[in-house]
Amino acid sequence: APVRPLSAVWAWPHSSSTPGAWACRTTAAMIFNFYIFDRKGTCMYYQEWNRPFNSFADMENSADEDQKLIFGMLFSLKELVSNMSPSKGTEGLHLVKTSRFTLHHLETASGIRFVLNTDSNTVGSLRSNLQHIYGHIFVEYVAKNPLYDPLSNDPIDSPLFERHLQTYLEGLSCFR
Amino acid sequence: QLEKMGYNIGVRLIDEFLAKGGVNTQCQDHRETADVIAKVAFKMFLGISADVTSWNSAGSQFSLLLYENPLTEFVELPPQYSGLIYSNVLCGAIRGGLEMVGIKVECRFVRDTLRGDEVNEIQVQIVERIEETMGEGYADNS
Repeated sequence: APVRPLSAVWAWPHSSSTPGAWACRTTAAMIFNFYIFDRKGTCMYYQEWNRPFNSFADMENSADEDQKLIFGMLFSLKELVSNMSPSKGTEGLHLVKTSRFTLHHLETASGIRFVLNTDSNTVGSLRSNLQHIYGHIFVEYVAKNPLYDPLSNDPIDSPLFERHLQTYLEGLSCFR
Repeated sequence: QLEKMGYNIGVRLIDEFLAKGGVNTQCQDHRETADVIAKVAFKMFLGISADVTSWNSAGSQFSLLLYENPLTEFVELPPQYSGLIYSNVLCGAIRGGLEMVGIKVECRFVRDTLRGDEVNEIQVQIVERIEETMGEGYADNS
């Protein structure tokens, strides 16, 4: 997949109708990949834009292993985070950041998790973008799709959903 | 059957509610849950507001009072269907929606304006919190 750096601070979002577009106005920023997990840990959706190095590439079921790793980490962290919280009512994990990547996370009360990996040039959390994906893309094209059954473990199979998701993510100013 | 239909609606409707209802954090206690259902959810999907009453002493059961019911606005029950709980789909929707946020309930209609009562009353019994578990693919194989 082609690398998509955004160069320079001059790249103001040309359409501020994209919610959260102002969240990541900075130097080169890249989106790596995106996962949606259901409450049981099944990966309902996975999309990759850039992944120069994949430590699972040699294993069979590499996608599976990778998804299990991410979900397992988030699941364990959830318990940790709520126990560590100094005040009652934690919102849950926002992001996990290293010098190489930032993992943005949103878990809904219904247990659906949205995970977006970007590089670490993105400033701040893209949670509001994940919230937008949830409310305007997931709900509209998945939850409202008569063929979708939240109780089954099926992955999302909706070209319309994919298209809207891709358009939205690729349209975020950080990733132009 | 109606309850089952309602359940299927509820499990899907919950995501729309969470995304658009402005409530995306876990309710702290059952009272909050009841209030959110009565004031936010009913308003959002049916345009009516319900009252929360009749809490039992353990705090595990409450009633929702609906003074109007848009489902039955133009409906009369003919005599041969006098046993039909016409709006049972509402009970199912509540059960389905709550199950998806980890609360198991039983819901039933105790008073029904279609059958002669002055108000509609849905009794909600909170059974338990559902523990989150990972799916089978995560069985410990270390």
